[in-house]
Amino acid sequence: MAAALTEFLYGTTVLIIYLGVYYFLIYNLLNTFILIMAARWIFRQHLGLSKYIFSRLKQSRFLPGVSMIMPAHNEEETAVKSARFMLFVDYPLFEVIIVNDGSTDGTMQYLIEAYQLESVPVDYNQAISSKPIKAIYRSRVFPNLTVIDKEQGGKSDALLKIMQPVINKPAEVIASGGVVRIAEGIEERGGRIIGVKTPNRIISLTQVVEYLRAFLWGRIGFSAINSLLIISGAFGLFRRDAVVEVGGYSTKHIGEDMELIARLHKLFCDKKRKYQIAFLPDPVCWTHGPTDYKTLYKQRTRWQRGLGQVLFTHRGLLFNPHYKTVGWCSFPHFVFFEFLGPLFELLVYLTIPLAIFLKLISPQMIVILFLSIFVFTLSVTLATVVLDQLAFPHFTRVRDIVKIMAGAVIETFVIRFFQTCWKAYAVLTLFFRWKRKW
Amino acid sequence: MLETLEHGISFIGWPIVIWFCVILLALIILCFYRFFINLRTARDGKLKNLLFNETKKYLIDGDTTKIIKLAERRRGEPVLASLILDLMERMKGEDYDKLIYVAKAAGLNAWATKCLKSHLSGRKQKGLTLMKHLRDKSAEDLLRKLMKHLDPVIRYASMEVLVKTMGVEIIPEILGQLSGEPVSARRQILQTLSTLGRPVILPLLNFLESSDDPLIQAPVIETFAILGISDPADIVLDYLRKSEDRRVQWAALSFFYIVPYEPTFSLIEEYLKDDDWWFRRLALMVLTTEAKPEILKLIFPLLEDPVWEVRYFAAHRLVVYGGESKKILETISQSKDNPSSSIMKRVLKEHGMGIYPGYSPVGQWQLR
Repeated sequence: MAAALTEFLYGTTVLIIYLGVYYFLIYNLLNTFILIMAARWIFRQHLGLSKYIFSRLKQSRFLPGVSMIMPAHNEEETAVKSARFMLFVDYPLFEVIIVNDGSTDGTMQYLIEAYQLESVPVDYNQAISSKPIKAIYRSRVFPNLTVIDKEQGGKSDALLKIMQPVINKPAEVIASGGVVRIAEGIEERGGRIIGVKTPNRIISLTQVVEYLRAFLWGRIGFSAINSLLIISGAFGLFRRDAVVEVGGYSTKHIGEDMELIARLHKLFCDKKRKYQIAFLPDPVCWTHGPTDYKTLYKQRTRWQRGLGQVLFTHRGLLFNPHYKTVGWCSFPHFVFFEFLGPLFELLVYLTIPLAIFLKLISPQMIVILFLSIFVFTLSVTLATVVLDQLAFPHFTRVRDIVKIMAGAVIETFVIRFFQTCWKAYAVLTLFFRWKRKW
Repeated sequence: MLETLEHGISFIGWPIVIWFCVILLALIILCFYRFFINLRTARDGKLKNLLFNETKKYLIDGDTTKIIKLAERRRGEPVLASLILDLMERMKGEDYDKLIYVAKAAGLNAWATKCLKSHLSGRKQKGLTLMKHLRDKSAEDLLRKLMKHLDPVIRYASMEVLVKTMGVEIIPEILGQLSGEPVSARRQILQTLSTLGRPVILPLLNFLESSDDPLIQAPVIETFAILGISDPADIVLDYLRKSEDRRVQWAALSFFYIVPYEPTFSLIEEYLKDDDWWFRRLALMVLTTEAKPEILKLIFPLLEDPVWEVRYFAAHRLVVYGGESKKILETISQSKDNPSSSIMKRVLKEHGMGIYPGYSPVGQWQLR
């Protein structure tokens, strides 16, 4: 009995390490492949909005009107400033709608004072489900600004750039997404960004690297085969009628942005309509990331749980040929690498001491093994930095590039491990919650 | 199993190291490249400052000697070109003409022509942007060649330059090429043609008559709307009457929104009963561009339209008429039974604040 148990333990340990190595290799090879696809796509398409086209479009009378919706929950420090960024975008026809999402701080008061808001009677078209609206405000100084007070439930050229796919294929493009980057380090004047530097704090620096990697290769690569599954809630453009048709953002999901895209894919595939969900690497929206590890932990576990919820809700997409590339490429990628991946990675990390203890593998071998894997991961991240610098260099100082390289090393060797643990924990809690429900 | 793994690691280890070294080398090269670019930008920045000060002096005293000397320096021409282009965006009238003069005196014509011959797309675009202002007819042949360039941006830019330099003469050639361009590009090119004003109407009308494609008809009709001239009104009315294509109908209605034309009113009234609320709203806007009292009786039924947006627009239009119609709105707003009472309250409040719903129908057919 004991011999059988020992043999089982030995066998399992070896198998986990074996599978772990393959997992890391396949994951990184896949990432390299997607990165190459993204690079090919970036350099093939004329994505950079030339100065010439930009000035022409700015004066164009053919562009569709855009409503910019900004949700604000307890954001008294940033709401006024963010609204100012939006009110000064370079676009011929737009309106700004700020949704005060049940703030308990002074968000509403600050907005009222800054933009001379006045309450107008509430009357609206309830096309999608929402919590009750307490008041609607209009501004005396900016006629295109509306603020909606609800129960709790970029650069200036970014809008014109994100509209590019819509301008080219107006009837086909139902959503378009742009890059989100970390705002720590940016310099702004009068609602416009005048310079970009890398942040000094390690937590922000590593997030700069993470966002760069996530947005530049992941989303462009999937967008190239029309299987993009996420358009960030922070920066996305949607066709109003398409969003209304699917019922808007879900109030039951934490990852409502991803869930909306999954539903759009489903609806348009089911109805056999020609559609495109585009992503562009040039328009940038700047967002503030967590500045302490506790908030970062909360944010990442929330994202992971949200991912799990969405994947579970739309599990019918997995390997379903009806949903084409979404069913075969992006959805399985999210299930196996983004959702279950961290759990498996953690299992591999936990198995290593056991393997050394059982003398199944020498510590030197483990070091070589994981060093090669991490170096591979690091090189994928650094390749993203190269691609970013070649295509759309926002960081223009040598010092910034060096800092990003350092950030990539810290992210790969330190932060990644913690994030794996946090994500694995989130997955486990989600599993237990589901088990209890069932 | 573990032996295989160890063997596997030694096998894949080297490719990983080599791949990593390649990426690292690329990053180091990038750092050096960025360093030199920054150095050049700083040097160009200094030269640009000098040129800016000299240009300011020139605009006052008319002396071009120093500017020409500075332009003859290494990288002087591109720096002067970029400075002059920036200034041209902001200046008009005499100052604009003076800038054109200094650009020609400093030999930027030759520099722009050199850029047009470059194989780099970015350089070509710079040359084209400058050429648009300089209107140098000697580059005509080169520009005609660029009209057939692979890069769409180069094609549109060269067409724009040709329109500016050659005027009406080039219109047939550009229209001949229009069918081969994507729809979004057609609209941009036609918008460029509209800068020529009234002389463009006749060639465009001939072109419109010769095409059965609604994706050509709609943008051409919209170009008439942008021009804002009533000359083609009868022909557009004919299209509104006969065309069954919704995009053409939308473009025609947009035209009459900008150029009100009384004979169309009875036809547009029909659109107030259209199944598509977008058309109902647009028809309402067209009919109310001029505050005529006889239209009031047509607007009142729209206050009970099933679509919120139509009711909102109708109320906003009514409130502008003032007098009796405003009183009716006030009565509805105070009524407890009327489902539109809150919307009327909102419209009256917004009217008091000087806020009106902004809407531009031109070009919106592409989304329908």
